[in-house]
Amino acid sequence: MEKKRTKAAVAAILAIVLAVVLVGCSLVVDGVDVTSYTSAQYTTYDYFNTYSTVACYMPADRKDEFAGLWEGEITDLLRQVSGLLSSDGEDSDVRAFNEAAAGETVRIDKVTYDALLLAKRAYDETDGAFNPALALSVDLWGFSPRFNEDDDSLTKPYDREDFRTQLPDEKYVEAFLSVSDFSQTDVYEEDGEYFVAKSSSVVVVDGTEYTQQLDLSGIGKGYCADLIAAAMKENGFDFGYVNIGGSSLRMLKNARKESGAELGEWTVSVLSPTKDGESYFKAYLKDESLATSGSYQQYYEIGGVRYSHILDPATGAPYDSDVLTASVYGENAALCDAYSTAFCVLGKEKALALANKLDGYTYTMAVKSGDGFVTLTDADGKIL
Amino acid sequence: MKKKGVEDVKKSKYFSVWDVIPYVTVVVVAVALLLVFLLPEKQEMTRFYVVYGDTEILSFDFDKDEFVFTEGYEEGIEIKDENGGHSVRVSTQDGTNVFFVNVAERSVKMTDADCSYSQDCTYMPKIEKEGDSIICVPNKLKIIAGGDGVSSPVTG
Repeated sequence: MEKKRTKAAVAAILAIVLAVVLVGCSLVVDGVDVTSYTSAQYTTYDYFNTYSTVACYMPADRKDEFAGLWEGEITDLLRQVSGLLSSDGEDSDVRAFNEAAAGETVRIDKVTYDALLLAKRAYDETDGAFNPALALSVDLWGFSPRFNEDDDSLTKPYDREDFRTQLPDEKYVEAFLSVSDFSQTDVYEEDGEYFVAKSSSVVVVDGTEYTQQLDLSGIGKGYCADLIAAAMKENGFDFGYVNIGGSSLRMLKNARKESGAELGEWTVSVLSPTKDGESYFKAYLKDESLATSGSYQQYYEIGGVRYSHILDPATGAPYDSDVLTASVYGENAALCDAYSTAFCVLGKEKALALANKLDGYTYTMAVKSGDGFVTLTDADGKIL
Repeated sequence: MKKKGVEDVKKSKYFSVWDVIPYVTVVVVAVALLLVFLLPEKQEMTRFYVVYGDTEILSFDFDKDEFVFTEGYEEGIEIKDENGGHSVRVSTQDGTNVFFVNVAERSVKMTDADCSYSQDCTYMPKIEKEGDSIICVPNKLKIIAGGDGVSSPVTG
């Protein structure tokens, strides 16, 4: 009798252990059992002059539905936002603004209006360190999209034979800076329609008149990533991420457990500014955005001086601070885009002061130190 | 206790063979489940494939150390054996990329490209795990480590 009771007890304990093991082996993220989720990842090269990747984990029976979302709503968003915010698209609101006369008002799409409001907010919060009204200067220094094309013909009065060996004329640097005050640009809604009123500033150089020009590439990719992530969530796809160009990411939840990260978190490797192909930080993110800016990829050197594609709104020239690269993490990818640019421009001390003011946003910075750099961060992750 | 009773107890085994089977089954199932679910999800890549635009033009099997070409793209692909691996030059209408396949390490690294002045793709980390990828935007070329997983993003 006693033997039977012992056997029953052992069997009961084993059943409990088995149950615990089975439950423990299921991957449950925020109440959703994702153990059997499958994945899909799509990439296009057609927008923002870079790649756009959307990754998703989902139940196997929803894979076709997600493919439809990618081909439909997501691609439409990429096309629409990229088209409206690019500087050269046929239906571009930015192009219409740039071609408008000083002081003229341009009717814009709601998408452009929302992006400009975010740009305004970032401009104010960073005391102008993020400034989307530097498009003339960006072009002057050779970093606008036309310089990625094969056509080397000189089309602007300030073009040089080789912009990588010849610095621009200082008179253009100063002139273009004088029309870059973004606070003079007014964005508003009236009777359900949206408008942007251009600054009335005009500058003339060698007989040619120049007005303020916008470049929303510093915020457009993040803005679009936010819209795509929202579309995914609205359609019930809560696991995955949106990555536009590697610099603007909107992470949802992860359906796989990654080493070092909490369940549901993604591990994002942040590239080192000094060692090719190596990372200097691993960020752990869930339902959060991330943007990275830096001087170590798009740049050229003349006389041993590095000229980065990020311009300092205070000088109208490539920034020259001690921040080699900055990544910012938070709720809004568009603002992360703007803040990371501002961190580079401001330099370590002012960037840290700005970071203290930004509620809900964290950062990682690689700051020059001797021949290398030191990593400063208050983000959830691991310094490598 | 009588002598017969004592001998019966001595003969009686606490676990018979049939008793052990369920216990072993439980342990095997538990270990199998642990292997399936608790080990790192991302596995070492066993193959990678090269996609130009939307078309797979080349793949490589690490176990067989073997390339498989897609018909019509052979002429644009040049492979040299060097440093214990393969240096692969892929030329398409959009440009040329060179990457190195480290067979022992099971990794791939973009080493050169004529894609743009900044050559962003050459700064991407080498790929080693299933789902990882390297993308060259101007040349519309993507190298993807085989597998059904989603690659963890890289930012920079």
